[in-house]
Amino acid sequence: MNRTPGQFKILASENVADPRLRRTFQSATGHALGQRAQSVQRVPEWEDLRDRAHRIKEEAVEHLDSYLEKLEASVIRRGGRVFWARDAKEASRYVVELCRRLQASTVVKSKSMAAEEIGLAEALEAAGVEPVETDLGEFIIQVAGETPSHIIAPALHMTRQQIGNLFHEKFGIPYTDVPAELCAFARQRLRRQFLSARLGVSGVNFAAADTGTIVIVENEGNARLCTSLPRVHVAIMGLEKVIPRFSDLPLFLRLLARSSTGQRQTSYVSMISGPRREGEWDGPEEFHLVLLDNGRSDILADPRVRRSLYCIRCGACLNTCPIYQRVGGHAYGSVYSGPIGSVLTPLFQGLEVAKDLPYASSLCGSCSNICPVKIDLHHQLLWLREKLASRRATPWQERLAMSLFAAGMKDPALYRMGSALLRLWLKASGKSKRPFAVPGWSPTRDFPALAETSFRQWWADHRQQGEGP
Amino acid sequence: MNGSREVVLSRIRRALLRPGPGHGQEPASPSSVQSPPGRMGSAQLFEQFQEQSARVGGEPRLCSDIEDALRGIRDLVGAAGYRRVAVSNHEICRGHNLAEALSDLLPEVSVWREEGEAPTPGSRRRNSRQLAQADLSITGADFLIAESGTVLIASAGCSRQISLLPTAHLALATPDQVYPDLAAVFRQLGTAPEEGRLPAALTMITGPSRTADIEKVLIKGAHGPMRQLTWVIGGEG
Amino acid sequence: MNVSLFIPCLVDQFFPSVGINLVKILRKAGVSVDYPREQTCCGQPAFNSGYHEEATQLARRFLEVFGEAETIVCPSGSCTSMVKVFYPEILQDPGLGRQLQEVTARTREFSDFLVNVMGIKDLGVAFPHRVTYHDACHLLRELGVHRAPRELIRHVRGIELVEMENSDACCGFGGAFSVKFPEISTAMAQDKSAAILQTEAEYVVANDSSCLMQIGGYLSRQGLPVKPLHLADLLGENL
Repeated sequence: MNRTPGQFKILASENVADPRLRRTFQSATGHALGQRAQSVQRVPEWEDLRDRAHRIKEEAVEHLDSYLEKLEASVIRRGGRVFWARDAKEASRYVVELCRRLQASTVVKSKSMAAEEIGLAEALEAAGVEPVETDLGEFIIQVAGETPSHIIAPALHMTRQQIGNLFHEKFGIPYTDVPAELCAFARQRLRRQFLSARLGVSGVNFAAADTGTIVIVENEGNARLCTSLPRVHVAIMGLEKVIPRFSDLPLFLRLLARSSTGQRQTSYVSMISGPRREGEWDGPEEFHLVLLDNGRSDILADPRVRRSLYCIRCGACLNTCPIYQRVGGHAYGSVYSGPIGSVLTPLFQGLEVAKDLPYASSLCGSCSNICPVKIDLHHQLLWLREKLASRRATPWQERLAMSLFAAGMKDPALYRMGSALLRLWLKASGKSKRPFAVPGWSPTRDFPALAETSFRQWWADHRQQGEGP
Repeated sequence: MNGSREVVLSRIRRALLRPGPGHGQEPASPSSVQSPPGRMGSAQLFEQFQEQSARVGGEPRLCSDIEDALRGIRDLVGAAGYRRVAVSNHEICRGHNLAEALSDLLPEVSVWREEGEAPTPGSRRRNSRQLAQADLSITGADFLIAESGTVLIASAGCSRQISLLPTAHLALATPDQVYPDLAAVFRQLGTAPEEGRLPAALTMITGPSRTADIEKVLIKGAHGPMRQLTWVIGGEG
Repeated sequence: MNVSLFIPCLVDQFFPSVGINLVKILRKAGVSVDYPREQTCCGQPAFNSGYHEEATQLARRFLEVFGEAETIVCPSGSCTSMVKVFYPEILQDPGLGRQLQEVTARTREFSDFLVNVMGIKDLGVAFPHRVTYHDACHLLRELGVHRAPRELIRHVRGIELVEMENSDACCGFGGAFSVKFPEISTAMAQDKSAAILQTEAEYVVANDSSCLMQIGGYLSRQGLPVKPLHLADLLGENL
């Protein structure tokens, strides 16, 4: 299942033609949107919260160096260790080295987009360590050899029957498609792993610079297990997850849960400040925080797309996006899908690799409208399009058409003449009333015929007849 | 290990030479106060807590005193057929000698107490295995949040796993522990790093463990407890 | 009051009735109407495809043509938002500062202009039909215009406005998007049409000819009876 962002066009048209997949995504995203709308409705100051969260993220990102240094110092003060990784390879290698030192043969993992991004599971496997995904959705797709199709619900694309068959085939259990039974099986199987693993890996939703606290938001409890049972806990975070203050957390927690699942609060929020302290009952002996760059400093270098670093990975923009709703997450060929994926993937993997993604939007703006930290997502896509066009990475026909378009439009006489000539020609060839045949458009939709008289002509005629102003 | 610390930091500094849209603006103010500094009447707050906790599948309840709570535990254990109960070393449990009281009250049930002042790695592992077998755990709570029906437990006074591994979790609290929202709890904690009152782990628990990863169907008890009960002892009720 | 018409190229070439009816409406509203003949295109097609160089040239032209206008009124939320929202993003020339500010501030989408500037909701029009209204994305989310068109519709005699489900969901046009990703674009038009059909309306009304071209193009290909109608046509034809 090695999909790449370059395949978007093909994958998207395949998925759109698959009625089952379309129904699955439309009903799942619709459900999530409904839940969100209900819970947001109860927060009259919602817009104010979004504004404040935007400003706090802006503050953190615009002073990223100093907040990261502060975070580092706070984590160390609380007995943790900090590793700066410039890319995916360095970050993965660090975790692999830890496994070697601990002689760990398995690693329990909770859901982490950063870990997905760096391909940690593959790196561990290559080093002979078994990565165990413990989030139910991640577990399912790991067993299926799939990749996540949604930031929040990785197995969104699968039906209960598919999962039932999968468990039956891979684990030899009697077939069932009752979700609670499938879940109970996974719980039992993963319990054993939790109790024996020496290393637990988690992601990070927020990291407070002043206290060195990392925050993990979840519903299942697997992240709590990953961070409290094993001897060592490694948390992997993209650089941009740092927030200035511990006291900013209530604001972000209010926004995150409501935006992603419509909950007031998720079942669990873990606020972890360093390893187990002297006298505490349990908890890891070592706490490691991996600060991952992996292209983020490049994004930071372009002020026009810098705001994409404010993202708190709530998934609301996926749910509301009419494109995502119809093509699903896999079409994007990357761990990040939907509008935020269309922005981040070209920035992380290179514009040329993900050329179609910035155009995979009707610019309807519902992503920017729903974003809890007010990222102007669809404007960011426009900036990426500009980057592509100015690098001449767009098709030559399009570039030619655009220069002709601009030349014609810059000169009103040319525009007038062109429009008159076109009409003369259509009339002469008897095609005036015939709709235009437009490639890409006409197979499914009628295109209108050119009006016999343009507005411009009408205005001129009526002015002459004294009916004008 | 330093990793690429200097490389990454210098990349960031170089990147920030080009100011972004909000650069040089007034720094954002810390999230402002979201609740009045004083506490609402605890009865009202508990009412709100009760409503919110129940909404997410939690089982909140007001007990008149410890006797009432013990009777409640007896009924709970009886009704659900629990065989193994784990009691935490949280001060609320210790204060009421809960483990002893339950052993007397429920002779047919095995009551296990988390003990050892400074557990060793080996004993921690044994504790985990014990707890994974338990049907019910009883812990104290450090704060309750009315707005969301949330229980907060700090790792300083209670293990992380006892509220996580058993099938059901009961948190005992007192009326003065109910706060309007998280911001109010934070103010109480005193979050300035030098105060050092922040425990290594502060866990917010809102209802039972859940997942909707299979066709968006809500299932309780994904990895943590299937039932989450919060009883406030000694309320006006 | 003097109004300068800003007629998008799509309206000019394919849907001139929208412009003609807008002239009628504005005159009825008691303003004097002018059409600067030097205008061409606002540059949005180039801008949306990433050709900011070309778009910037057209934006500069627009400022020249409309620099002196008292008020600029346009029958398209999309082209209006190009001027009001995106010109300030692409025209970074500080020399243009003042002119840019004035032109963007004076440009209004026509329903917004009628209701929120002129205070006119009732044009004395009758149209005894069942209609539903589609919120064009740019009008709604870039410009925040939601109520004005509905006010105008509600004041039409005999009209019945039935809201469709997800009236704010995109129709799938999106300019070049509609031909770059025809399958997705058509799927969006299909869902939009289903929502429209559910209302059992005879007309689907919107304030953007491009949305109507997309929705109408799909409806007519499917042989469905609902007719697309620009609000300016609805009001102007029945004055």
